[in-house]
Amino acid sequence: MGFNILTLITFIPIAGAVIVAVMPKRAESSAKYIALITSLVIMGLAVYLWVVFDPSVAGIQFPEKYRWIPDVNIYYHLGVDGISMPMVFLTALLTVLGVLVSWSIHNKPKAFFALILLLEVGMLGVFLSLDFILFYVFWELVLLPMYFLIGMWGSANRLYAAIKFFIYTMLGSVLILVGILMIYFNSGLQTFDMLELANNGLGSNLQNWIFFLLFMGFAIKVPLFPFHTWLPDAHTEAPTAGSVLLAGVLLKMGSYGFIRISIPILPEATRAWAPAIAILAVIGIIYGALACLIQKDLKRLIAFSSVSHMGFVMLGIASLTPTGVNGAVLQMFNHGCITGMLFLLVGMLYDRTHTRMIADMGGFANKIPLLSGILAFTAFASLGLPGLSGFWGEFLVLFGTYNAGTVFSRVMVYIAVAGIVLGAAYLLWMLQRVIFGSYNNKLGQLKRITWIEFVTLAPLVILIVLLGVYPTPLVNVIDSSVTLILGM
Amino acid sequence: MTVDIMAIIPEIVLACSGFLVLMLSVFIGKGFDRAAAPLSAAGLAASAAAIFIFNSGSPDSFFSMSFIVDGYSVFFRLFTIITAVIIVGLSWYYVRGSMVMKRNTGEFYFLILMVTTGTMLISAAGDLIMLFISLELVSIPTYILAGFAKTNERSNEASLKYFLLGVLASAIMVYGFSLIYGATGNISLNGVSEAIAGGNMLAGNYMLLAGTIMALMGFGFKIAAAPFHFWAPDTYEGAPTIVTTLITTIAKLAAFAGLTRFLYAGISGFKGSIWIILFIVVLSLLSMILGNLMALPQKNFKRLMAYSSIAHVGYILIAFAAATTSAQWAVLIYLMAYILTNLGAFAVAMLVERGRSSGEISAFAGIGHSNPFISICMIIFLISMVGLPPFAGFLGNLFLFKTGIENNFTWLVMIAVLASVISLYYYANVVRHMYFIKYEGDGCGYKLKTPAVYIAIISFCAAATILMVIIPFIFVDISQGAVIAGM
Repeated sequence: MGFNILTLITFIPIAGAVIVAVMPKRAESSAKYIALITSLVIMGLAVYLWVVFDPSVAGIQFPEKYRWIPDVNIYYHLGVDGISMPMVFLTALLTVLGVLVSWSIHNKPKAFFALILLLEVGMLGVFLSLDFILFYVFWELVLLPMYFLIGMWGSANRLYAAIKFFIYTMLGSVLILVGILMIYFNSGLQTFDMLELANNGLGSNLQNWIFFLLFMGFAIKVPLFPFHTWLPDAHTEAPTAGSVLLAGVLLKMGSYGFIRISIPILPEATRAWAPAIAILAVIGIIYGALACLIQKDLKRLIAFSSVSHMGFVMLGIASLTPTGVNGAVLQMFNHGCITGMLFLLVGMLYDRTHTRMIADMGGFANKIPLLSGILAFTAFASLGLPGLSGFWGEFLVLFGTYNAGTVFSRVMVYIAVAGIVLGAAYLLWMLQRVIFGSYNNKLGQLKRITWIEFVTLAPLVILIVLLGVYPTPLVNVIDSSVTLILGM
Repeated sequence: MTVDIMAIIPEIVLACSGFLVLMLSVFIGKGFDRAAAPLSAAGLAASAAAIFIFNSGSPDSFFSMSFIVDGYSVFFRLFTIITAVIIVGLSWYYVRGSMVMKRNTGEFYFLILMVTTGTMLISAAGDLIMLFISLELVSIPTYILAGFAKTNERSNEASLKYFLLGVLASAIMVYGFSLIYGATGNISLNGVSEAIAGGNMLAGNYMLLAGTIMALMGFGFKIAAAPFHFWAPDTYEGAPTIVTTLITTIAKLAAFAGLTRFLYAGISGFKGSIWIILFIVVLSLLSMILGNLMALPQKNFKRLMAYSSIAHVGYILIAFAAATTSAQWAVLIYLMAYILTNLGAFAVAMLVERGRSSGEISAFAGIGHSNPFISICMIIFLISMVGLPPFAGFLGNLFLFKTGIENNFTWLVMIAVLASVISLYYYANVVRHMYFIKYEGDGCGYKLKTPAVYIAIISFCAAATILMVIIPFIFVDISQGAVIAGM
């Protein structure tokens, strides 16, 4: 490799953001083109990275390591492995789609697209950094753009949702910082390097404390029950692109943190805490699904479905078996695609109907058949229909957890399966109320799908079908790294 | 003696230019007012040049140990001068725009130069008398400056409150110094340190302990640490905003310079004394909690900044409790970040106050849309104060918390990080007004006037705030070179 591809991927969006920010106000309608080009370049680089990425290598590829603050051993250290690769691709893809779906934004487009690109820097940086401090910098970098996206372009209750999101997630992240510093001093290594820290000498008592701190940070981000209360507000109030990136990528940062940091660096504590995480995950699955059943607001329904689906991710991680964790990573990727797509669709419906209330909808199948069809397709993917990608993640998670072999893990699986049934219930009921039934004539004439919307949705449809039929290439990428991290 | 004089030429240059400004304004009168700020800036620049010219490069002491030139004093003198130049730059527009303050332009700049001289002397103080006198050289002009808007009752109140409590604190401090002198028989910090080490005096000498605690109370007042903070909110709010800026930057720098010198050079091994550490920990704890909680309901920007500065002092004191060499440079990094962000934030606040004739937070409403550039910079300053990356405040917090955890104050750091989450709410409240709330006042005050000096200073502070995280190693090197040796 003649060039630092990971640095390019991470920081090109900043260049785009700066160009967008400094362009004159009368040219603001072209901000979206700059944002699209930038995000497409990142997408191209991410695809290229995946092409040159060698799935048979378990460890880190394309490492870049430079001294940053040498006196305290802080490095600028990037690298990609089988777990971060799908996340990088997902981030790049969803950013492109986020830009496309915001094509008709007229309220301060310059600021909007600059923030989206800044957000992309933070998200990519989290998945690529291998130094704790660098990781933390990117982790926090995500908060500010998202705060503004929700606060400036959100819907009615946006100010409350924005500050709640900001404070809630910062509460989690400062605890991560304390945890990181405790690892630094108590590991006996005095390094922030995530890879070196896997060989630390932390005692199990201390590991438990540190695990608790990191757990709080990651669990709020995932969000694991009972730390999920920021999610429905933030997802519901955010503009469509914000919801897509929140659900699609930001939630994954939490579960990614568990896999990248908690498991390899605090293995004993992870084992000790795994049952508790599994219980919370299962509660989240059931609770999220039940909450979906009573939602009147379509966007809020999908927000709560994330609580349920991220529960499967956490259940897979808590199984600590290769199959389960593979399933968790797969579910992270697929949930990003499927829920991202659901939020895109809700946004498109809202643009037409100017309502998110399910009660006001109905009969869309006759008026906008293609959009309704895609909504049905995505809902089926979301409920885990075999043949679509949502199935494999949940299947591997349940399979891996069941195979862990204890009575406890089997009980967890039985309850989680009930969650799948509930998932089918709320999604099908939602479909029934939204696309079937009688049409609410107050909504007037609905516009057919535009070609930009079609282009926005098409890549995800293709991915969902391809990975549903043949997930092996993705699983191959994930598998060896997961095995390495679990130390098996 | 010729050699000794050379060492304080920077201070002499600065004091002389201060007197020159004062005399010229007296004799020339109104015609001189325009030249006062440039002349003061020139004096500061000459003083900075003198530091470089007369710096031999190796640590040395002068006037029988009462004046010390080392990495620490060179760092503080230069940083003080940079801060003072920025404040003079901000004053230029501010003083001309104030009917009351305009009448005494010469005196205003004279007092600022005196405060600067005092701060420079503190950082180089080698004995207790020098320390006390130079602290007073900072304090007394500051009392006057706080009441500089003579016809404004709030300004008078600010000055009087600051003065009365300040004098009380000085008295306690100097009494503490006298007890230390009595206990150790030494006035020079070096002598005190040797006496303490030689006689193992921290273990059971209650006169020394009482003296140290009383001195710390005095410093606690100067840095506005809870529970010695009661003057701060009223003084911050009542004083002219440019003076509030001075109090929260240079005056604080002076107090921390003195505190560090006193503890690390004088009370050697203070880490070993449970009482001293306990005292610092209590101050830190109260400052963090009270500062952040009391900031929550504030409606006035300067009052908010008063409580926020109390909270910041609380964080900094964690490092004093940790009491190691790395804690020392962590404090310096934090001070750099703190002062740059405060200067920038106050510069923006002055523009808002001038444009909207109000010091309330609600006056910030809508500036995100009318003045995008300074608003983005303001976000940078505020978020940096929360301690979030990628801004300077994060670097400061990182090193402070690091030394805290390194020295078994993990619980204190836990409280600090939780307190910083609280602080996010009130800083974000300012951001919320700037961007999410519509301005209710009249239309002509909508877009703020932004003089070029302000834009330059705000850009400088914002750039420095970001650069500190992008190239932190430079700042770490600078601060590590400025540590007081002998720990």
